[in-house]
Amino acid sequence: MSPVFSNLLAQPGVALAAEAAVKIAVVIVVLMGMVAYTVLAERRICALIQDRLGPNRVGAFGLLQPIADSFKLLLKENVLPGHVNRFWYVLAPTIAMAPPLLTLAVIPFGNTLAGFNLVIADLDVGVLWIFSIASLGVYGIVLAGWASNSKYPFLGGMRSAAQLISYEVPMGLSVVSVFLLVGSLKLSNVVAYQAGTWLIFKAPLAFLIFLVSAFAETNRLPFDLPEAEQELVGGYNTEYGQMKFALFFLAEYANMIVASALIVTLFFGGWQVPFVRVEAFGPILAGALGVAAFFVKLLAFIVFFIWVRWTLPRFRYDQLMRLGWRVLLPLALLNIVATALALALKLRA
Amino acid sequence: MSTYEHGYLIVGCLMLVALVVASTPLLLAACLRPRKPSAIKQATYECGIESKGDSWIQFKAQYYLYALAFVIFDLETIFLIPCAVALNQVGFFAFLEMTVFVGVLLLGLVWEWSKGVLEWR
Amino acid sequence: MRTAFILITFWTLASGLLAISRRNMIHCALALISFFAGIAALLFTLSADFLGAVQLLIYVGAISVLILFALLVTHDASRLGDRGAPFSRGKWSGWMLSALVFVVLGFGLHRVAVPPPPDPAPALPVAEIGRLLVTRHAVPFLAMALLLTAALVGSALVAIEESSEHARKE
Repeated sequence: MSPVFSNLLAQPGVALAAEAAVKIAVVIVVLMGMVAYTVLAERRICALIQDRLGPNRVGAFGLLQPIADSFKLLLKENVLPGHVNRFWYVLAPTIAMAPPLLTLAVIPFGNTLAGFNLVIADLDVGVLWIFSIASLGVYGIVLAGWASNSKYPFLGGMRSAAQLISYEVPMGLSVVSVFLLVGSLKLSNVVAYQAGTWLIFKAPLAFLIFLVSAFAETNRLPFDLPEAEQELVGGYNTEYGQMKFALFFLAEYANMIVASALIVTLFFGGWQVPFVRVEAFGPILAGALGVAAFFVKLLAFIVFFIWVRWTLPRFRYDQLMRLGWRVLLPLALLNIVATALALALKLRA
Repeated sequence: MSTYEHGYLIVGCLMLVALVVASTPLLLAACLRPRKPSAIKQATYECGIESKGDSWIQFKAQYYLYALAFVIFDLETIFLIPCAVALNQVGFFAFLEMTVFVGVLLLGLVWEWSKGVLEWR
Repeated sequence: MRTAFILITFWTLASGLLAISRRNMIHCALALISFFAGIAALLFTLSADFLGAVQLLIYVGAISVLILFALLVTHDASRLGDRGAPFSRGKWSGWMLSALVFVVLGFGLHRVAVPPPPDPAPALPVAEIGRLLVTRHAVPFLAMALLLTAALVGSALVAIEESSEHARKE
């Protein structure tokens, strides 16, 4: 490293900015790579479940398929339907893509590595930040439906919005019992709390409610009514093609990855390595092992998401609403009271 | 610079980066791809027959009712979150209050339920 | 933070102006969402991150959805502006009233000598907010539950009346 450069890095502001820039770049590149390969994994696992082969021609095991796909989508003809509201029609996919990237900022993907905290920004309101940003996901879909100015997308967009808001409530309420136990909204504290036992063992019902809601919030299969092909053609993105469609598609997978990361962080110990005292291996190796543990758990959940999609049939819309409002919501509320009672009794003793 | 400011400054930067990441593919594609519009390509996508009537179809007012219930329970969550965080410090009294708070809203939910409002028709 | 505050203030004001000046109701609603987001960003710059997140979650994520739903469920709401705008009749009295509110608020703020807050202002941890909510402000907290339930029941009552009327017509 040249002396000018190292002098520059020695200034505290510059060092912090450089650290932040590197983290943001790494996280976004890793997320985009994971999104691309999750799509491939989905197609391969789906094929496996349906006793087919799946895409296996481009590169070994089809590993270059995502690259081929992205070039295909880039070079597709730009069809801008004549009836759309142009400005919002083009803006909608961008709005859909932003929330998963922003929520990622607060998720710790490791403890520390060479003295750096492995999280982009460990905000004090951590989990609340995730929920408030995730609640903006509705707009990409509603705007796409409305700006398309066409019947199927409009219907799909409204349905999807109603589904998203219906399941946001039990999702938020289920996490309240986690806050009761941890006593903090900061995600690094949530992970630190799980050093002994993971939260899934302390709040199993909260985990279950959160998991079901996460499937609904990411429009994954038992809840994929917004794009029920048989009745709505393609749902809110029917009028979209080429890269604009691809952004919606990628946003959906990015949402799924972020949801998996959140489940891992809240209920499965985040970067905590089970059974092994990693501190004994020295700081560098311990940090790396933590990151590895986080990614193993994350991948397990992504595979679980895919597996469920190709196993379960779709709900009817009234069933979906009933599950959200009549089962999950009261259950989440009762769960809060029960957890609070247990905690209060423990405090008394 | 405090850690608070630092955190939100980074988040602000990330917001810009997110917008760039989301719009770059669109711009790139706009430069690369051909564009040959024709009347058929620009038509509304439906079953193959020409689209009839207005695209602004009539919706059930029930959507609005669900949105209202959503706002109310979202507010409830917001009030419960700080209480949940503080329960460790305050103890049994906080638990009683939370129970009453949740109980009152649960009553409202049960009432709605008995009237069949939350039934999708 | 000061520069960010000023930039966001202009953003918020611009969104607010758009929200009251556009003809298309949906555009007004979208500008209003941007306005709410601006308020949230202002709260974040003022070290009130919990309030900022709440503003995002409640106003941007919930109440705006409610407004959008109301517009989208209403058939042809987008064309409301074209047929003799609904807000033009009381335009001047509206301007007068808002000017009056502005003067009163400005005067009040001018009179109250608030000591300049330390820059950056100290952040209030969430646990502290919760503690105050269940101890000092326990009564308003519980009254809030009643208010929310009343709102829930009220909205449902309106719907029940409507549906029974609908049934009678058929």
